[in-house]
Amino acid sequence: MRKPVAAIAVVCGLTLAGCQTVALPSLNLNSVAALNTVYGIQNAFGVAVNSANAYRALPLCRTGTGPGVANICAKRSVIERLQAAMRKARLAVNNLVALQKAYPSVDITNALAAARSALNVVQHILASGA
Amino acid sequence: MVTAAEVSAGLAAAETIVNAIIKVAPAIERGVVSSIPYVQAIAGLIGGKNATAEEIDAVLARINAEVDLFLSPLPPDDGSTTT
Repeated sequence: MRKPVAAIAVVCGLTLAGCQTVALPSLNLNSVAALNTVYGIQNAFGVAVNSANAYRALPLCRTGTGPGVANICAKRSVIERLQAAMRKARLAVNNLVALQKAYPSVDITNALAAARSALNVVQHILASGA
Repeated sequence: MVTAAEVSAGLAAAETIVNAIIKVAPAIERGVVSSIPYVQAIAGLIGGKNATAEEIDAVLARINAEVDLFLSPLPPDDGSTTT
């Protein structure tokens, strides 16, 4: 009596397992949201990079002087700090995009937090140079 | 009562400021103009447009090129721009 019951259970289990592997055709809302999130942070980074390039294009401040209304200049020390922060931000944003591309439905929260954090550092340094 | 000398000094200061701004205006303008596509993309997202994988690839390539430009070495410091 036990053998037929076990056999039925196995058959039913296999059937259910089979059903679970069938991919239902549907819009992956997680992927759409992830794409938008990645694209948003990329473009925020793009604005920051262009601000940094505009800052870098200013004449360097003379030693002992600082930027002011009559002395619009960029501090070498700020540019050097920005370069270090920019390297990290680029790595974080590239990692975020690579993760999203390789695993479209995976949770990107951690990579996103890393990119946001790196971008925040860039923005703070930019603000300090103004 | 403001004296003529004070007015002249004020005008000279204003001229210095305007000259400083004119000198760097092209750099600032370039920065603003090249930021426009990014700002437009953000506005599109806010407006409900969904991003595509192709757009993400294109923006990443552009950003990486712009970062390369920023990371190029500064001219060596001869002591006059140490600040």
